[in-house]
Amino acid sequence: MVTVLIPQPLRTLTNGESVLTAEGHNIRAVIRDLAPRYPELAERLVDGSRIGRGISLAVNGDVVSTGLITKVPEDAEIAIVPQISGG
Amino acid sequence: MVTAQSKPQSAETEKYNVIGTRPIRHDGVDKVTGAAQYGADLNLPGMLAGRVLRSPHAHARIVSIDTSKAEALDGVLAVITNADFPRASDEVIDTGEGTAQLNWVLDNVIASDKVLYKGHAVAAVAATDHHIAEDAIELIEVEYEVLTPVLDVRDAMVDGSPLLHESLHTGEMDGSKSDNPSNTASHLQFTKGDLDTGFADADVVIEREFETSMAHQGYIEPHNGSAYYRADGTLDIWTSTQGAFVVRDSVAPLLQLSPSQVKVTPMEIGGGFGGKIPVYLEPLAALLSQKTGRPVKLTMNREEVLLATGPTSGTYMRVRMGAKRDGTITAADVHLAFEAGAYPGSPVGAGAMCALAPYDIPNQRIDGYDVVVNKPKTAAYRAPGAPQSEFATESVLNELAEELGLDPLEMRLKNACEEGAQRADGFTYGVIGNVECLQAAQESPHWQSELEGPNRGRGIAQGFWFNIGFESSAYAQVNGDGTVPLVLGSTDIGGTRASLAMQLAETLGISAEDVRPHVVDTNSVGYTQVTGGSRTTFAGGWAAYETAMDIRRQMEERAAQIWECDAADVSYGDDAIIRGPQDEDGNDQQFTFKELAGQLVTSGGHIVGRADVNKTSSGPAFATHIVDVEVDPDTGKVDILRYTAVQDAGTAIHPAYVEGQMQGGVAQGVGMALNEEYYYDESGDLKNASLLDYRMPTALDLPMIETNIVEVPNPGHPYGVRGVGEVPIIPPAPAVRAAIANAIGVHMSELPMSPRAILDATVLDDE
Repeated sequence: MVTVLIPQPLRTLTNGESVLTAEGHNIRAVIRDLAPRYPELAERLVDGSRIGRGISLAVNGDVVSTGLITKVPEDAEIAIVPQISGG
Repeated sequence: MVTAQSKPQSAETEKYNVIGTRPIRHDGVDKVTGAAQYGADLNLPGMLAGRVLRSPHAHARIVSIDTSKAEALDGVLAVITNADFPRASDEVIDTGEGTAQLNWVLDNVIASDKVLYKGHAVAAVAATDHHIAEDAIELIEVEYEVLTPVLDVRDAMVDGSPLLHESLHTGEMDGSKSDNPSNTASHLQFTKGDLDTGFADADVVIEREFETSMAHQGYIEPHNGSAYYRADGTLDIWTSTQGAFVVRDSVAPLLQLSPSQVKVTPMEIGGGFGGKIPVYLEPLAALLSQKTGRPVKLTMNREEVLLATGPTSGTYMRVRMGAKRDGTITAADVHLAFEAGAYPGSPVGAGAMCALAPYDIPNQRIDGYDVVVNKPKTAAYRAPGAPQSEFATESVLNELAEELGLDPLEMRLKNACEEGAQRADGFTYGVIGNVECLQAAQESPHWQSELEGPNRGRGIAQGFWFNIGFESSAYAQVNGDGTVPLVLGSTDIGGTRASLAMQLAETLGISAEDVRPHVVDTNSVGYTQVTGGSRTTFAGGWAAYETAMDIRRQMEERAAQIWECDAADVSYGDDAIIRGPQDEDGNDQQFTFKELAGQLVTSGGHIVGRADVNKTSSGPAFATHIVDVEVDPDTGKVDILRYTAVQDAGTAIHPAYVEGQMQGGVAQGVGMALNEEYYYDESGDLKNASLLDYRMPTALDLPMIETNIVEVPNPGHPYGVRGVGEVPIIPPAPAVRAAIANAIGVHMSELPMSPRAILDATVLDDE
């Protein structure tokens, strides 16, 4: 079971829920699992074949670099964060 | 090349042969003898000189542009404006570690309907020489309808403020947009716990406001970009960039070319610090070359660099923080408003995520606003966003410690994040060196020393930066003499040729001197992300390691072929001895690396190892800085008396370069703290667009910066590497602010804390 942490501004898409649980072996599968319950969240998290515009996902503290096909370990924690750039 | 082992290796690196030593950089001789080729050195047969016409206004609508007189000038071969580019859509393109909207990328390169900052490019010319190009841009007639500029982030956020983009609406993280257009491009928020409860639990609450000015990276080499659009439809670009692939993937869609039609050669680079990730001149040179069929070179002068390339954001910030009498921080509320410049995309997101990152605070709220203003579009600058946000939070923490009568270092230790702590943005820390840095600072000779004398003070601050990973590629060939050319796609800014060669050498068990690193063009190596985000020694190191492991596997197989045995019975040892089973006579069989290298050609050919990695687990970095200052009460001038920087490097691959990054970060951080600012008049005219007036610190302004490398290895890297380049720019400003307060009892509220600002503050304080 994967835990998805929902930042405050996205809780409008999750009926106020701050922590969701889902199943899935990769990011795409996790979002697909969430989609029937939270369709607006799923829409926000995916832009075609990419992660949604302006956001990044972090699995167990690591920002994913391989997009929606990033593997998600069992019991992983997924955070939704803004895109970060470095200098 | 000579190996200089001037200092003993640390306990962490003494288990290695190459890592932790200090070999002379492979590119050093070329650089000190002037043989290294920078972008401005490039001269091709038939090359044309380009110049750019820039806006004299900070905010104006372009009514018309008449280029006819310029085009008629002898020696002028092409004049272009935004209208000559294919229409750019609002599609999002990868721009290094982030993304950007293509039409805004183009509009920043060359303005379409409006100019949005003084220096905004309006037209470009290619001519047979530089002087003719200069004359030609004077002949271009532009009619402007001048508009009121918006120069302050708070003014820009007010309803009714003049709008830079009529189509821009405030975007929330949930994807919703404001009903009305706004200069606030986006808003983000992170929360944790319950703020009201947290502040109710506090014995002391302090709230402060801060303003910081835009500041430039100050790289010594100005931007340049040359291009040659060939008759077969391919485009060559030579440029000073932190990311050749980003240039390729930005220019190609702007000209509606396939990436495979564009080859970008990264020239040597004279500094970048994040500012050489965006494209500025490259698309202009490319289009001018397309129109003329000749190579075109564009270079910026210093004034253009300061006017029209991306500095870091100016900000308005507000922090409220509460703590118990024992120093436990119970709550923090952080408001960050960052200037993005003319187009959305300030580093407020990273600033927000870093703001309270060193501390385990149970109740937090961090709001961030990305706001457009009539100043140049900001770009990344060394830990983008963090120097500002952590200046605000670290400053309030220092004041809380002062108010509570606590040692500021002890208070940090009491609240420091450790493994397992979760930030407000949801990240949970793995193995980090936050506490180790604080402890090393506490035990340092500097912290243990007494500071005496009038108007002198000591300050301390902590810093955090994520570090990132992402994609890097490499390949390497084993030559017959046992030397190994290593081919890389990462621009070498801070000694990464050496740090990557050392990791390959360590893995192969050979010397760093036997590896010859080369940085090549985008057609000659696999995709490699920008040199930035403190990622190159981490992710490039992974690529070098995997490349070496590929070579090791192939050498085992080759030895097995020679010995006519199963490859599974051959092992490549860390001592670079390849051992096989005993021969028919019972003799041990083994090759040294060089012995086997010498037999490759006659046993099947050379061996090429390669790797393309896409890594995370980059390992966050923490730093603790201590500074002593003396303030001249008559002039407001602050002298840095002593400075100590402590930082967790994970593993210091080349300690001298780690120390150099730490010292360089401090120098830039002190510049932001004390002097560096974009100084605009009310019309939006930048009044200090030269290095005489834009005052960066020199060697005369700084003492020798003492460094203390802490090594808490990153478990996500084969050699424990964390990034080191960015975090050292973060603590200087709050540490200097605390030292000034300690010296003269005045808590500054702005950056830079220039003599003028300090005199203003002390006069106000006296009143």
